[in-house]
Amino acid sequence: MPGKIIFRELEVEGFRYISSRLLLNLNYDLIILVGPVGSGKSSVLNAIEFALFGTTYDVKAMRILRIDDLINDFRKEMHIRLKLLDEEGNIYDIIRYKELGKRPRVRIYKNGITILKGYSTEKVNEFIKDLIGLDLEDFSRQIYIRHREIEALIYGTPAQRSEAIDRLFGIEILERVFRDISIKIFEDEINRSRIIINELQDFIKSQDKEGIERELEEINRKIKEIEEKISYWHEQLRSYEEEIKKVRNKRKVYEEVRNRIAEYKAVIKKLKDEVEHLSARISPSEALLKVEKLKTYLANLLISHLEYGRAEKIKEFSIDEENITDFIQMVTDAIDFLDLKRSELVDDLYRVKAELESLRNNRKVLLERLSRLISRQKDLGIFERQYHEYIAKYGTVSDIRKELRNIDKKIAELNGMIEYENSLITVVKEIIRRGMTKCPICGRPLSKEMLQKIEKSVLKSITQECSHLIDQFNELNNRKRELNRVLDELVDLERSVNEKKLIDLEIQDLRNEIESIDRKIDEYERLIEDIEEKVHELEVAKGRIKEDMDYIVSFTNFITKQRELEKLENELKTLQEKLREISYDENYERTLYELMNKIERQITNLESEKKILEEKKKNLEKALSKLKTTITNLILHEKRLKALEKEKERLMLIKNAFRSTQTKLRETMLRQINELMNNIFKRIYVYPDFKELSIKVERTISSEKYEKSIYEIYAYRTSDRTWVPAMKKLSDGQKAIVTLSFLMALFMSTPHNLSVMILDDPIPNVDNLCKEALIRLLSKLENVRQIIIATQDSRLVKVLEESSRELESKLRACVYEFKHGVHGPIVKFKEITTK
Amino acid sequence: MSVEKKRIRKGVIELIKKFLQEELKDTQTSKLAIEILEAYLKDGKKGIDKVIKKRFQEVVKNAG
Repeated sequence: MPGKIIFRELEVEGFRYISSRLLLNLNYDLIILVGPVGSGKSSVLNAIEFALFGTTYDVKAMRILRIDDLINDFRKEMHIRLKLLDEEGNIYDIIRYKELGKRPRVRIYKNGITILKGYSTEKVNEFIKDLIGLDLEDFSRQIYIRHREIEALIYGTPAQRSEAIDRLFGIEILERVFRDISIKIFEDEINRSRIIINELQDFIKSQDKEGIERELEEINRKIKEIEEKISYWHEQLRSYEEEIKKVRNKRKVYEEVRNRIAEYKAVIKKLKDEVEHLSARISPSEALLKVEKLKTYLANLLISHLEYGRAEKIKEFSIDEENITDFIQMVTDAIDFLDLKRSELVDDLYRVKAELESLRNNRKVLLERLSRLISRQKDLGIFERQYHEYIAKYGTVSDIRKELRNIDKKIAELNGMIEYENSLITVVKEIIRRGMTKCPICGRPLSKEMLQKIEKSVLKSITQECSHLIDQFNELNNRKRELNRVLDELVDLERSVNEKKLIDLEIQDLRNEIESIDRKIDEYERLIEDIEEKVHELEVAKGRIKEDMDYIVSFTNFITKQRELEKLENELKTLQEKLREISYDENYERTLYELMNKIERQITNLESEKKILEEKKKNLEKALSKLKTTITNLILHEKRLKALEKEKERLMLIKNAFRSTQTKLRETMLRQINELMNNIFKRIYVYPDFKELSIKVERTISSEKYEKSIYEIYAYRTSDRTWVPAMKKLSDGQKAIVTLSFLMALFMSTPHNLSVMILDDPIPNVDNLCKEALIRLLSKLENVRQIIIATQDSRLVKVLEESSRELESKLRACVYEFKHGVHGPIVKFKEITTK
Repeated sequence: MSVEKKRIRKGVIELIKKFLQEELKDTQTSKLAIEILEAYLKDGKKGIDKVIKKRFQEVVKNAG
């Protein structure tokens, strides 16, 4: 049952076409919003929807807009307030606010007290649903009847009309489920399976299974026969191999013996040649004579080198053909000994020669030294002679030194005397200069004459004496200088004389030493001659011994080779005997090989034949296997196809069941509404040509063999008393009245708490009489307390004004006239009240 | 949604299920139909596609 809540007031700002604040008083039974297209009527209706649900049908269900698209292009936020009044007189204010890019906010007041606030949440939505008993979908279906739904009912095809009615009934789910059950996946797979099955069947038909099996059996039999033959020939081959193995071993031994015989023969021939060659130049008697001579010579030689023991052994050695080798060894040892001796002598020789050379070098050095000393001695001899001449003239060094000391003494004396004489002269000259009367020395009185006399004679005498003294002094000094010079020279000469004495001694020593070295050199030269002679002797002896030994050795070789020859000839005989004993037949072996080759060729041929057959068998088996697999695949695909077809059938059944259910449900829904719709129609439609309506569900079968049903509305035509299809036979205006009757019947038959009906341009082509009837009906509707109609048709207002006076019940109505303005709609309000 | 409204909506679905069971005598088929209906109610077309795809896979698998 419809509820008792109505709208009281709506305040809108920044919503869709409404930019500035718009306040609408909705406290009327009938509210008509009239105006041209795009003047803001639908924005008001959408604002009511948004105030209740925080979104609109276009945003949520149709998804043709986003919430931000609802905000006016010249504003960054929107604000909507809707005032509701319930039956108990409670006033609810629902305020919604939304800024661009931000979450919408909501606040709900009950009688001025906030009961909910915050973001638009599920809790708010639940509250609204509980309050008005509707969600957005039901609201859009039952309260807010959009123009497009009305148009779909009036002008749509039967199918579109049926879908629209289903939406209004809330049973459109069945059609949606029917359409959404897609069996294409099964159909595609079934088609694919059929193609595969056809291909498989074609392949199986093209193959001869029994023929393949027969051929396979035949090949197996042939392979078995070939294997038996191969086995037989392998057995034969093995026996021949064993036989040939024995023959091969025999051949090996035969060839070995034969090779050895050949080798023996070659060696014997060579030995015979050698023996023949030796026998031509060697005589055994001569050899023995040579041995005896050699014994004696060697023994003497060893004795000469003090090797008595060895010499004795050689002397005592008795030689025959048997022990001649021992003798040769003995002689060889003796030769080695003599070689050793010779080596020692050669070593001595080198040593002595080295010493001799050293002595000669030493002598040469000494002679050079002697020569230098003699030369120096000669030079020093001149100084010696000069020395002796000085001695003879001036005496020895000590004599000269003694004389020098005497001269120094005399010079000192002369110096004293000269000083005395000089002082006398000074005194005299002073007396004379002063004219003294007394002698300053003796104090005797001096007269002038005396002074004159003194001056003449005394001064003369003193001066003469002094001159004599100076001459003596000079003579002594000259002598002293000469003696000093001689003394220096004499000291040097004395040093040279001493050096010469030492050189003389050294020359004597050197001469003695050189003499001694000369003696040694003579001695060494003699020694070298001796050693060289001994070495020569030993070399000569060795040559002789070697010569004899060569002969003796040749003789020994001759004997040895003769013996060896005999031995080899005996062995050759043995080998020839052995060769005769080995019964090897080369032809037999060749025959065996030929037989074996023949068998091997036979086996190879058989194996090739077998290989070809096996290849053929493999191909046949492969073909048979493929055929079997194909048959298995065919069975599987057939099974699969069957299952798919069965499932497809099932889904088609289900789809059909949804359609049948749709029909049944449509019929069920219609049962509730039919009578109500008819009553409403009778009250709106005022003309006599049609007086009744009936809505039925008609079943058909679609091209896909699915059951299908449509709603068909019939109108009872009074002229011929027949039911005619209303949507085919009636005019657009009549169809609009039929549709409105249906919608109002639907509104009244569904339960909710809102006592409001919103119609968006419901009767575009209805004439004034019917409009008047509609207004009359609206004024009488029991369960609808408030109707909001948006229309472009201004005649409805006129009809309302004219009919208001004649209405049976009081109807409070108002008109909001919308006009286009620069910044949004310009709205005029007019109140129309009936009696 | 009011209790009454919910009951009515629930009633419609139950009615559909009842009609489907009447139409489809085979239990398995009617179960599948109801499964499809419930899948649609839960997840729309995607839900139905999921159920059909699952059935398809089962059929293909069982058929070997």
